[in-house]
Amino acid sequence: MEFKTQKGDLSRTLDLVLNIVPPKTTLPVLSNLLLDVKTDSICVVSTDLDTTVTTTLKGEVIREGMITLPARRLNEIIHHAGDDEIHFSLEDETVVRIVCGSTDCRLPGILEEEFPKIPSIQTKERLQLPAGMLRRMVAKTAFAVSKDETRPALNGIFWRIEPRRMEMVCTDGYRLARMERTGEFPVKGKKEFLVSPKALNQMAHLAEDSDEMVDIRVDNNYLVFSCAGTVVYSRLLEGPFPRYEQVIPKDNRKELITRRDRLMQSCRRVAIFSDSLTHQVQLSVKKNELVLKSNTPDVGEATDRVEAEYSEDEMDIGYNATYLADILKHIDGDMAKFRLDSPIKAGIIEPVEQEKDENYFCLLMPLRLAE
Amino acid sequence: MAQPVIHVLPELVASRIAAGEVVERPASVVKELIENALDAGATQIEIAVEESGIRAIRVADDGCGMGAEDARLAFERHATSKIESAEQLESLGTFGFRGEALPSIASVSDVTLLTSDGRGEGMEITLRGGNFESEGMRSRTRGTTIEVRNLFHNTPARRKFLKSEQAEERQIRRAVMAHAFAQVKVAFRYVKDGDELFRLPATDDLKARIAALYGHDFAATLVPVAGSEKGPVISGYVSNIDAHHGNRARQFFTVNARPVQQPLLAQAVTVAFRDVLPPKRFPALFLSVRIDPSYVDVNIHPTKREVRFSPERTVFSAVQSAVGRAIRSEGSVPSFWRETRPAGRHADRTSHLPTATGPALPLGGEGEGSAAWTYHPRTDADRRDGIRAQNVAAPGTAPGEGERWIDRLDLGNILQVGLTFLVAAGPRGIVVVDQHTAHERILFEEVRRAIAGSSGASQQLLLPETIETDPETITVVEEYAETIAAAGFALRPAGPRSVLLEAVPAGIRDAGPSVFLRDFLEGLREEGKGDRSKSRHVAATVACHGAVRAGDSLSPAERAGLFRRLARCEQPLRCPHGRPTFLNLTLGELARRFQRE
Ligand SMILES: Nc1ncnc2c1ncn2[C@@H]1O[C@H](COP(=O)(O)OP(=O)(O)OP(=O)(O)O)[C@@H](O)[C@H]1O
Ligand SMILES: [Mg+2]
Repeated sequence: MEFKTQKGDLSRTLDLVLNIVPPKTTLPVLSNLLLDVKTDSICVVSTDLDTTVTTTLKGEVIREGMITLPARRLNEIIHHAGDDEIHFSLEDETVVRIVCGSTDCRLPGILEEEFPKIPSIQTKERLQLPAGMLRRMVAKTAFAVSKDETRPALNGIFWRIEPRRMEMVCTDGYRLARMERTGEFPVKGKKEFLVSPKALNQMAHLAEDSDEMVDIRVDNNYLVFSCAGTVVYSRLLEGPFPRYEQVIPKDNRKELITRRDRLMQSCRRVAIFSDSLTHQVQLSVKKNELVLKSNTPDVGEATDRVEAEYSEDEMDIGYNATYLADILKHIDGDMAKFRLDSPIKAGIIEPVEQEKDENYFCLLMPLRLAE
Repeated sequence: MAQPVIHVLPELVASRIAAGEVVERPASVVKELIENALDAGATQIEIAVEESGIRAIRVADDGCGMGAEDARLAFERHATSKIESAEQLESLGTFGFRGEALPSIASVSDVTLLTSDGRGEGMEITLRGGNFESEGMRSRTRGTTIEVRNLFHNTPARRKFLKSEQAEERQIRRAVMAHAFAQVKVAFRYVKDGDELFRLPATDDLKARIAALYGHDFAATLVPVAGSEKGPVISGYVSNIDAHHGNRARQFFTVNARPVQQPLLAQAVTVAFRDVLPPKRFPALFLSVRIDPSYVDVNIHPTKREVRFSPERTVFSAVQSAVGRAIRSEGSVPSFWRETRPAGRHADRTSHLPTATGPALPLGGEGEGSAAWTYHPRTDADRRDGIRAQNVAAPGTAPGEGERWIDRLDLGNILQVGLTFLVAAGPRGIVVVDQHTAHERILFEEVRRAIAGSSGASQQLLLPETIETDPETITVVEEYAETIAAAGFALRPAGPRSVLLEAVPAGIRDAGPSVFLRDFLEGLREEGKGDRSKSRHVAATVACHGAVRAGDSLSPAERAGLFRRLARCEQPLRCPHGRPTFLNLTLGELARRFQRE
């Protein structure tokens, strides 16, 4: 195996694959990248067994061959290399000589046979979607994914595609974010799958230009994205995703409209005085005003007011301030709308003006205030 | 002491005295004889045993002694100089009151009594199996020597019940030590088969006596206990929470200077140490309870091993809170904040035994009793530190309650090591905190406080969960409905074997609600009754599920926050399961490691 490449090309390639390399692993070869050098291409692969990324590297191939090299060490070498051409050559079974300007180093690798096989996928059906649209949908929902490993179904982004609409939904059981797009989607019937946010983020990362199309294929086990020479294989997560439609309140008629940034700042200020465990703040919904309060023994108490449009019954609702601020951060536009019912029912929070073809909202479950 | 006069108690009084076997084993003989010596006002007591007391037990004292007439009467049943009427049983000032010990001992052995009241010659009386054998005059300085030989020779059944020689001797020694800790002003000498095992000079300082018996290294692990709220005065020493032991051998209790084995007191101590010690480990303890004698009934057990308190709860909580305070005090914080002086030099310190009027609580670091345990500023800079330290106590916390140690650390530069440990440096060493156990402790106390103030915030679930369970658990759910709700769960029965979970206590970080609920119910089922333990259980469960784990990366601000919150804890040194939360590497320790000493 022998090839030459440019530092710039190599660092861009490493950028694409490095995220996937697991930080700690019991299988040493997973800390390595696979270099698969063919006469007409140089392919670089990383995997954590659930997600696999393959990408191509520009360069001049001198001799074919394969080897795996420690990813982070390689990255460091390249990071500190001058702007020169970099020359890789396999010296004996597993040691790669890397020459770059005045530097000459030898990096031991692991035989490529030990590297997991790249998944193969059986489907003819493909779908093309603009990278920008996918990126936006992921960004608006993935924050609500659960980190609780005991509930794997909540660890993924639920993605449903139908001919005229598509949606992504995430929830951790306390809040939920849902983004729906209308449009024309070339699928037959309804497609639903549960994908790890890691893979979707990786995919969102691929395209430099939002108009670029991402090619999507899916079978029973894998979802595969490809774009600009890079392919992401993502093992689908085990469902079933909860039947979230049932919990979306239908008759939350008490509408409150307020400046999104004001409320977010106020929420953060008051949260300083909230309990470090529960982050509880109290929202008193009043005529044309929202009063935020928190009070924790030993910590202190704070009150803050934000103007709001509201004309229904006054009430006090408890929320986790972190969750609330998180949601407000993800809503677009100057104004946010709350659709409420009672202090123990889910509240709907959404932008007052939806983007074209979009329907985005978040649900937040209240904290029950102690009497 | 005025010369006592022995008389036989009227039948009515005698009948009110707890009857039963006074002499169960050699150790009971030793105990009775020591108590007689103490009642006689002895300042020196010498105990000698041969063949674990079976062959011979000899107790000699320098007390008031007896005149010839009294010496003869002493072996009559119900003959005592100590009480006259049944009323006096209510407020005993002496160990003895029954006039039962000497006749009981004499009936199962051969006894020689040599006594002198210091007026004229002494008197010697010999009995065999309880029967008078001979008497004569012999010279003796004031005091009494009683020699008991051939114990149980005429009651082979009793003899059979004895344990091994070593076991019996251990019991004897423990009886001697129990009195030696209870009466530090009296000198004791203990001889076993001709070898002197210990000789304890009279002292004013319990700690000096403990050191004399168990060594200075051991004594250095002790922190003073003091408390005098609501009646009982608690004093003594308890081991710091790092110095636990595999059994209760070093636990001694006295009630009004009477050594007792009191399950109630042991229980109070266990409660105070709960959440602090690892399972099956025990503190060392030398605890004295002083209480108005009219609140104590010693007349419930033939060997007076146990007593009864009339307001039991008061004594229990007094002990629990005094011990609790002691182990939360800075003295209990391992050596980091203490001057490390060679042992031995502690010996010249004044007594740390607090008095009822001036409780020397170790909390403020100002009290007399804590002098040896807190860091004394030496240089000007140190002194400034000390002053600043006292001013920064958090609002609502009295200075000294765990605030000062933290103030000495550089919280702006805490390192996180291996995503598991936090390391902070201070002028006197390095503190390493385990982020998980420390956070568990913090949450544990915060949640417990929250529940106590019943502000158990509850997070409504977006996706209510149906939880399949067994009928037994359903019963628990019904039985503990109130506790469960107070903890922040909203549960509804959903059939004979399932419940619907609609809300969980706010703040569980990463456990699934159902996992959390199951743990919680499991715990409720195991826990005994009593509201305290329930809130404690909830707190432990929340803490366990909410705490950051090893592997979680913490920002510098979070690290400092963890230290500060830990410092606010009542018991910052241990997680609720008794694992340490932090470790000190003192300058002294570092110097030793680098062989600078
Ligand atoms: N070492 C001693 N020095 C002086 N007097 C003693 C001594 N031992 C016993 N006596 C006298 O003998 C009496 C009888 O002792 P004994 O131990 O049998 O009964 P007691 O101490 O009065 O009550 P109890 O049975 O509860 O111990 C005592 O009341 C005391 O007057
Ligand atoms: Mg007696």
